[in-house]
Amino acid sequence: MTIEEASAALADRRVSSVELTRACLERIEKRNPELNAFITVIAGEALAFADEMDRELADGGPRGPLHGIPIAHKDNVFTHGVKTTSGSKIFADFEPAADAEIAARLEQAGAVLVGKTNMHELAYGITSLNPHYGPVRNPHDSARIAGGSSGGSAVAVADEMCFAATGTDTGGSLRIPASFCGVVGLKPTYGLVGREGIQPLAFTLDHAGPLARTVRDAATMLGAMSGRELEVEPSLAGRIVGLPENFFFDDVDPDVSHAVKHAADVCIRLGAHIEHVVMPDMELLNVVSRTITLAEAAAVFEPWSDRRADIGEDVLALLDQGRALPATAYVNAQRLRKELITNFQGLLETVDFLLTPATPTPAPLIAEAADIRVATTRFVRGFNVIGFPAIAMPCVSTAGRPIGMQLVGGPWRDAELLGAAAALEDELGYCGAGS
Amino acid sequence: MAENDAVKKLCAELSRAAAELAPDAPMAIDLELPEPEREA
Repeated sequence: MTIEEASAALADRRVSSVELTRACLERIEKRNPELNAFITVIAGEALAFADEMDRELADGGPRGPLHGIPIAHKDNVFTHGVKTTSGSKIFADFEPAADAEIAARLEQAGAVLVGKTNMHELAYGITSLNPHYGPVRNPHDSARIAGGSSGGSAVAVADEMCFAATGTDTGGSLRIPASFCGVVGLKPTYGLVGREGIQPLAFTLDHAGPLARTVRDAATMLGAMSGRELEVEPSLAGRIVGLPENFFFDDVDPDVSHAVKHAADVCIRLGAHIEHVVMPDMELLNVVSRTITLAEAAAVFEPWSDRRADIGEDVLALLDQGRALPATAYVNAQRLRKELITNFQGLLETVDFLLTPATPTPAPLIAEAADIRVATTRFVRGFNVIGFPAIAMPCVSTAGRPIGMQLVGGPWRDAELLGAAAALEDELGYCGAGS
Repeated sequence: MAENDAVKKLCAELSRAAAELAPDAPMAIDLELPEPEREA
């Protein structure tokens, strides 16, 4: 069931928020021991708030499309009085005194929080194989990774433990788990969604966004998280979709390449024109991304540099690299960033959207997930550097392994991007979670 | 040691690219993407 469907059922009194919430909690109880998507579940509070939402609905109607809908927050989103670990031993007992901006906005919209999701430690990695809270497992095949760092959120949504979830994305952390788990992950334009009350990783690259089962549900979440009304018109007619000639189809699993090119054919069927484009220097863009992330993350976590024993090996190695990085590298990365943004602005004036794979492969096996960070992030992390909106969504499922594609739009054109993605989703059929 | 090698490689790639920048090339901190005016 989608948010759209559940919201309609609530409005018609065919179901109550308490019933929806109870169903999600039962699903969590059944599946979480294996999948490890949640660090904290707040069953009592969720049922009490759902009951409040039911009474409010009976008395005066819904607050909006999220009224009474069960959701989850990634565990780096501050929640008043609810443990917020950021997937770290350092913050194991941290209970924020106030909600993050997005948590407050979603509660105001009537969404029912069922719990906080597991993640890659400190959001600094893409496997969600968390050394402190256990590995998040892919719901399609529990021997595979869920992706990360918002792995628990993607699994919770894909496995119907909640209807949607929040996540964060510094170098692909919404889009990679979306791709691996067969759900929709949206990194909005930088600045569209407030980051107040979210544990930072690299503050000039961090974005918050939604994970959902459909593009329309992601749009509903984005509207509430940003506090804006988004007019999403599902259409690709007359649009120019750029299909990269370089970089994005190099060293890619043939199934992924085939699936994304099939999606390009579907764009044509929907009335779009495909333009083959030469991408700006993506390798350099990724170098800039890695440099800025290393430097900023090392600065952010400097206060806990005496807690080495409490930090996992992979994250510690990255923090050490960041501390070893000369200041000149960070300054040059920021100078190159400005030039790269200009290059991409020029490209997005010639096409409306870019269509690429989200990840070079479907979800790898847990046993083969060491040292895949650089390869797995290479199609997504650059768009954090330039800040343009990018959405990952399922385009096909091969042998039970979802394959994700990525659509990228111009800055502040998030609603147009969602409209294009919704049109594609309608035509491709629902090919992700649960299909 | 592996960490130092990774950092050295990143720095070398950045230096090479930065050498081609104009001397007065601006920086991006904080990322600024001017939003088109919204309708009232």
